[in-house]
Amino acid sequence: MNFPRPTRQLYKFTSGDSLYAVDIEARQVLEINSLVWDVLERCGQHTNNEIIEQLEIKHNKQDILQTFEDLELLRKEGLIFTSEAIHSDTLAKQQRLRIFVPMSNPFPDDVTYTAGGGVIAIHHIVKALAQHADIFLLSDRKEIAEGIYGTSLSNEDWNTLPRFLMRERYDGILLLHTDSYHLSHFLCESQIPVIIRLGTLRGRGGELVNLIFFLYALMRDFDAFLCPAHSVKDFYAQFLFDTDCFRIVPNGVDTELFRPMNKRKAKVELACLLNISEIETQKVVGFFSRFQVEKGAIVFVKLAEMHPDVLFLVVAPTIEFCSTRDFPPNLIYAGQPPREQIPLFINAFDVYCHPSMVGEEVFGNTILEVMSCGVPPVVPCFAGFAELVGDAAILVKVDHFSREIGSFASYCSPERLAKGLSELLDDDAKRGEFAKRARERALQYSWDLTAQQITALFVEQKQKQKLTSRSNFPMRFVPYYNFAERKLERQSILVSTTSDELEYSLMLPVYPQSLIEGVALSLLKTHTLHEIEFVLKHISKDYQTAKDIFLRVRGFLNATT
Amino acid sequence: MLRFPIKLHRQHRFQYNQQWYVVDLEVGEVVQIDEVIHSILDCCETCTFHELVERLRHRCPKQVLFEGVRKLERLAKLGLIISQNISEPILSAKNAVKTQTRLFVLHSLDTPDPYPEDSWALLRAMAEYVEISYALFNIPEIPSALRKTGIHGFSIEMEGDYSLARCLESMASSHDALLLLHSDSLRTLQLFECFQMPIITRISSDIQGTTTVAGIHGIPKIETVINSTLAIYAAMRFFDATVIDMPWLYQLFFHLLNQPEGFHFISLPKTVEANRLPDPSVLSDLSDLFEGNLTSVSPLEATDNTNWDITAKMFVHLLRELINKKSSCQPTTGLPFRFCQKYNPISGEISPQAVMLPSLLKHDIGRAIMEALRRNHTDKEVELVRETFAT
Repeated sequence: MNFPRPTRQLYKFTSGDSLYAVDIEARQVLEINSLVWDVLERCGQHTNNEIIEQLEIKHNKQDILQTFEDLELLRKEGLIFTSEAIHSDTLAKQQRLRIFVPMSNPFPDDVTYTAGGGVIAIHHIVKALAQHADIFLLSDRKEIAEGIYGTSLSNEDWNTLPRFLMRERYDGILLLHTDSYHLSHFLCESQIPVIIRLGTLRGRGGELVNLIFFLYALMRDFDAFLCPAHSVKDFYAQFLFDTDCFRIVPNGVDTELFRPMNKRKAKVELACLLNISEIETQKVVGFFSRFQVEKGAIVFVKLAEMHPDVLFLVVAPTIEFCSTRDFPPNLIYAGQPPREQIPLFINAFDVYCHPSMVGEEVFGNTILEVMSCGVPPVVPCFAGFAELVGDAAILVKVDHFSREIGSFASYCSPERLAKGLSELLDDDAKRGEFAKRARERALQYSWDLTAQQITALFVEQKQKQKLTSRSNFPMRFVPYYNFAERKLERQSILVSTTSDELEYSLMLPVYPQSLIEGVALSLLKTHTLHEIEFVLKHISKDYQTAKDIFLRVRGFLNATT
Repeated sequence: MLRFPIKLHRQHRFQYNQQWYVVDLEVGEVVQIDEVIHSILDCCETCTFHELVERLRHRCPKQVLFEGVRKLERLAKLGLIISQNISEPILSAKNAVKTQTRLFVLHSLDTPDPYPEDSWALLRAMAEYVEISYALFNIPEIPSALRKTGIHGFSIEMEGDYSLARCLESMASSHDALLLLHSDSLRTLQLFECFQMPIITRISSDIQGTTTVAGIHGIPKIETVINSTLAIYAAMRFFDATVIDMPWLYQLFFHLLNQPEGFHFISLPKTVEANRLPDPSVLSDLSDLFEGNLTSVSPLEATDNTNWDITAKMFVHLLRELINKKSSCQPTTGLPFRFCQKYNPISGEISPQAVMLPSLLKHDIGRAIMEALRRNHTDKEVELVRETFAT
């Protein structure tokens, strides 16, 4: 340790036979020996050599040098001379957030052969986020990529999650897989914002909806769901009172990788690659997704049957689900190329058709990638598709189901889709116009923008967290004698003096309220506002009454805590 | 709860840049403190709470001082400044027997005057058995009727409920129980939020002469008394009590609440009681509640009490019983229920439900709500809610 150093925050005193030093800034007290005392006495104004010179008469030189080293160790441990460290730490903290991203599966570092849109999205989100924040994944590797670090969560840490999170000084938790009730652990145990990405809307026989209801119940005011499209929020607005926690952050696209190519050249190249000359000579309608029934595989086959003069090209990892079916000769399965080659396949499409009707559908990552290549899509007006494509696609009317059947949430007839396809296939000018619009629209999306929005959301939620406190208005449930009606009734009494911090007080000392409002306000001390919503739904006579009370209670809570 | 005087071990206080700090060498903590806490720490080793207040009253306003004590308590709870193992009180040998029970007495939260002689007679009698601190609102000096009784009087300025509650909480923290001499409005409910000690609320004497706060429900006098007592009944914990000195009123609640637990009849001396016959118009108003039985009640039937000492003994007996009950109190921990809703994919309907964490076991939501309320409410309150929603 080099001296002189500022000692403004140091105070020394004796008590009995002992000597002590206090670092005022860090609120640390250290028991010290006489040599450290003497060094601290001089270190504010003298260099190391001067201190040695002055103290050599009294102390051994080696001991003095050792004391310098000991003080350096104490400084590193944050026990003394902490003012500089705290200052620089604060500055660093202001610059980059530390976001913990625990995942049950290993991080998909390489997505070259990955077909799942959800996994690819997670890959891009994490990578892009690392440009704006320090990302910590569960991994044995210390540094996974630039800005992406590994951290290990031992069983002991897991059991003492709050301590772990505090020790690691995370600013927030991002949960990218909505797949397990264990996620609730983070909402129950952490005191920092938790943001949960909803990569799927519903499906799995209601299992996902129930999981989301459960996570919603546990959410504090400073937690949020991350939804790629408004359709998610709209869907859950049917069932939940508070949709403010559903925040819309669309997915992005790599517009450099997925860019328009010369279509003629792309067709020639692909025809050569796949050894299918028809690609070069015929109009091509593409399918680029998992070739599953729910994703519209059967509908796509029917479309091929309805357009025998058009080539229907399926780019998918497998056709396993439809392998028992006889395909028409104009439907060709092209397999799944590595990710870098996908733009070539897409650029060989004249039109893209994505007839998915699965309940889990949210955003349509592949639609955006296709649009980014300047290929116009024909898609059902379903899930977040309409919001995504805007006026750059042919949107086909669908029949929405109020409840899923199988995993289907809607139906789009092949006839309607066929009509939409014809609109573009038969009109080169229109197709060209839509292709242009598709690329322009895709350029509005990027993974970096997604990451920026997520980072901004964390900053916002952190701010909210600082402003959030639990309701502590005491409530009493009391009988009272209604003299007019001549009968014993019940009410709740809101007492405006609190037992803890006495931070607030209303104008009157007590307020009579309905019993149901009292139950809501009382339970808010130990339960989240969202849980109160469910309690109100249970004890209110109808949905609207429950909602009215919920809004009153929420308003009161926000105005008083 | 801090009980003065407090023995401070291994503590060092210092001023640095015009700011006071205290180092508790026992726990190795450094805490920044203000002038008030510094002053309290200065004399807390030698003074009882009353003496401390007396000594410092000229240096800072009383309410600031009480707030200082409260802050010190909070720090002690956090294990700072006064670590747990060294906060044992030093009992004065002289008062060892008497100080076993320290009673904090409030006249009323609503009726600063008149201060009836009867109440003082009761306190004088009780002062023979317990140490009493008496909070007097807006009266600078202890009344002559209470001088030389050993009762310590505090004058409190009623500036508002906020400061009142803070003030009372600080003052009462070094006592074993609280006695509210006149309880006649819903404001009494505040006490159950502020105090963790047994509370005796007294529904006393001449209702017709009682001035009450009008306007909570616009109910005058007797109606207010009845409804505020019903509210207190719900808020009372198993270690609280309500004492009624009028047999007819006691019988009213006995009937209305179906043998209420925690309601006690303690008679006043006969000479006083004789003057406490209910007004006929009051009885007429309440005839529905009594279903015609009240007329058979004689105020003198229930007691052969002849002087204030007997009344005081009954109070002290009840007081000690409640303190014992409180000491055997176990903290309520409810089960960790969380409330949610379930979606039925077949019917498309949603239904609220309760689950237990971490097992996620489903539980009847109605029962779970009651369990959750039990954490912050008395059994009586929970039962009241349960009955309401069951119907």
